[in-house]
Amino acid sequence: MIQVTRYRACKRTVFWFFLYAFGLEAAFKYGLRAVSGILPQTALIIADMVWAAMLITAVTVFPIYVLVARYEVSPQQVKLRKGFFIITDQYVPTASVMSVTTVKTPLSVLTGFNFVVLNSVGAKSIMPFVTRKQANQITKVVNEAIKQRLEKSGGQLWK
Amino acid sequence: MEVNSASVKQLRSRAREFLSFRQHPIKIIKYTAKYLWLLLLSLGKYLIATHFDIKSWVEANLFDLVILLAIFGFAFIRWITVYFELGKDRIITHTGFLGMTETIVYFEEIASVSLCQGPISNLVHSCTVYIDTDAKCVQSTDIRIDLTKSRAMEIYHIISRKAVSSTSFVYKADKKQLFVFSLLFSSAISGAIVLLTILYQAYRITDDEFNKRLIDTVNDQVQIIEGSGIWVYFLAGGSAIALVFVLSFVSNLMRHWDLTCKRGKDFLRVRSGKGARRHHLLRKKYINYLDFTQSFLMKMFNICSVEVSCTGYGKRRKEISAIIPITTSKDAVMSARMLVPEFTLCKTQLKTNKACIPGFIILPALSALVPVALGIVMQHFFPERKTQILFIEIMTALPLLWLTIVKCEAAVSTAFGFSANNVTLSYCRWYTFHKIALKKERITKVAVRQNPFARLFGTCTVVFYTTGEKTRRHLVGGVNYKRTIKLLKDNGYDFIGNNKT
Repeated sequence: MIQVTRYRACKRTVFWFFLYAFGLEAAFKYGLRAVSGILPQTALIIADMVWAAMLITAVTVFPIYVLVARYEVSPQQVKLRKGFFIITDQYVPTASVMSVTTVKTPLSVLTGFNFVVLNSVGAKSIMPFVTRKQANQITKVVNEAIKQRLEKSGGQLWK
Repeated sequence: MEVNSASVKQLRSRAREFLSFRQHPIKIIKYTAKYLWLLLLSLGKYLIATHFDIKSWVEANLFDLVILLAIFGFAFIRWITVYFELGKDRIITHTGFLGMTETIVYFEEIASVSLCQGPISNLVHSCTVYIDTDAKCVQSTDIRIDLTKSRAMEIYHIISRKAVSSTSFVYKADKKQLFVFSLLFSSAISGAIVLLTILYQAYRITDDEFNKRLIDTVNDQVQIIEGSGIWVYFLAGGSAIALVFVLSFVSNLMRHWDLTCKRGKDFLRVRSGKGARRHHLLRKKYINYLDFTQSFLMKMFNICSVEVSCTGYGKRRKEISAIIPITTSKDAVMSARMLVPEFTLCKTQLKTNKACIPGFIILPALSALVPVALGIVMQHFFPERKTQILFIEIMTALPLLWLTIVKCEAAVSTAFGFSANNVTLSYCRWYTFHKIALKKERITKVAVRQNPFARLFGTCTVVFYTTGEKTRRHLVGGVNYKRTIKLLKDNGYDFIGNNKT
């Protein structure tokens, strides 16, 4: 019986993303006010509009992205579903994975901004916004699979 | 006396041994600074100016001469310190700064070996050897050394010992066929014709009257350029483009002239080139896939060329990874089957049909409308130039219209299929049709993509990622979603949510 573990993207990230976004918004507004004397009024309006459009897009897209994202990890394969406008289902055989990179950002226990990257030959699969615990679990499962594959093929392992 | 001659012999044999593991002496010149000739020119000029009075010339240019000597001295030291060793089962090179970088490559791990000899190298009997392993983390060549032709061939034969096989098959490109097909189906020639026609019409537009209008509207800077006669620039540009295209076509043809591909036990031997001769050894187990490529015209006339994806092959400048340059499709399939029987073309299991045409052509058709719309606007502002604007409009829209036609064909020929160990993918990328024959084990990732429109029409795009030095995606678009998911599941590629359905 193959043990499959299912994961979903950490929803806490949405809250923290919003917090970052509004922090950036405040900083941007402050910066804009500081340079308002130097730049012409038209440039300020355009910059403000572009920034607002970017912010609205990010605030709309990000929660949907987090809601859609889900992963299934087993020693044989890793399945991913990601996307916002274009939904992508991915299948990655662990036999093709050469290494795993785990990115843990500062305070990611709180924020959930952790990423697991599966490095295959000629392909790279990113599993974004997982909790630190989930990231550790996924890394462990895939690394174990790589280790077993090497042992089976008679490859050398560092002791 | 005898003792003296024996010591001379000993010295000679030592020197020979020393040189046999060094690069070709031409490398000393290659190691010197790239723009050294500028310094040499200036020194030569001074020598002539002083009427070959060496003494005063040396006194006046002492610093330059010291620099020159230092450069050559450093190049010579580099040449001495960079060397290679040949073991029973490996090649060891000492390269980099003063030979500090030691690279050991076992013959068993070699994915490809290439020997390249350009026209100048041919004159001085030197040869560049490239050795690549399947170490994917290194994008550049593992080993690159310039040797004498005989020494390079010696290494080539040591590595290719296994390539010799009694049951070998040799593919030889037919020269007449190669020339005629290349001339007829070369995208370089058709591209040159289109560009030159555009430039000719642009030149016609910019006559004196039109120049006046331009001068009235643009700033003084442009006015100066226009005043000098803009048509000259168009003519010069046109001539340069024509020359570049012709040179590109000829060099491409020469590169594949007299191509032979020989099947060995575990290697493929490819030899080609006129002027610049190339020898390649490709280890079969490192071949990722075969690519039968065709342009639209080639597809209409059943002509195709076969390229191979193998580490190290085709990654050098102006190098195409072809094993069969250009021939009839039937011949290409037969020859490929004989050369690499491990890669077989599978039966199509999922195919797009005529109903998919709108999905395939909508984007190129819309983009073809953009120059037409721009042309209409321009005609409104310059009504007296209607004919010329119309011509430019058509010429700009033509490549996009051609793309629309190509995509029409792609809509009915996109397909994929599986067999026990192999996969065949047929798809179109821009103007080129690809038929990929690859092994299942070479697939590193499969992705199924659906945008809202594709969801509405029940279609999807399947992306196959394969092993290789660079990320190469094979996009099979517009196929039926449900059937795709089922077919992929049957072949072991399962996705999230499939368990429910």
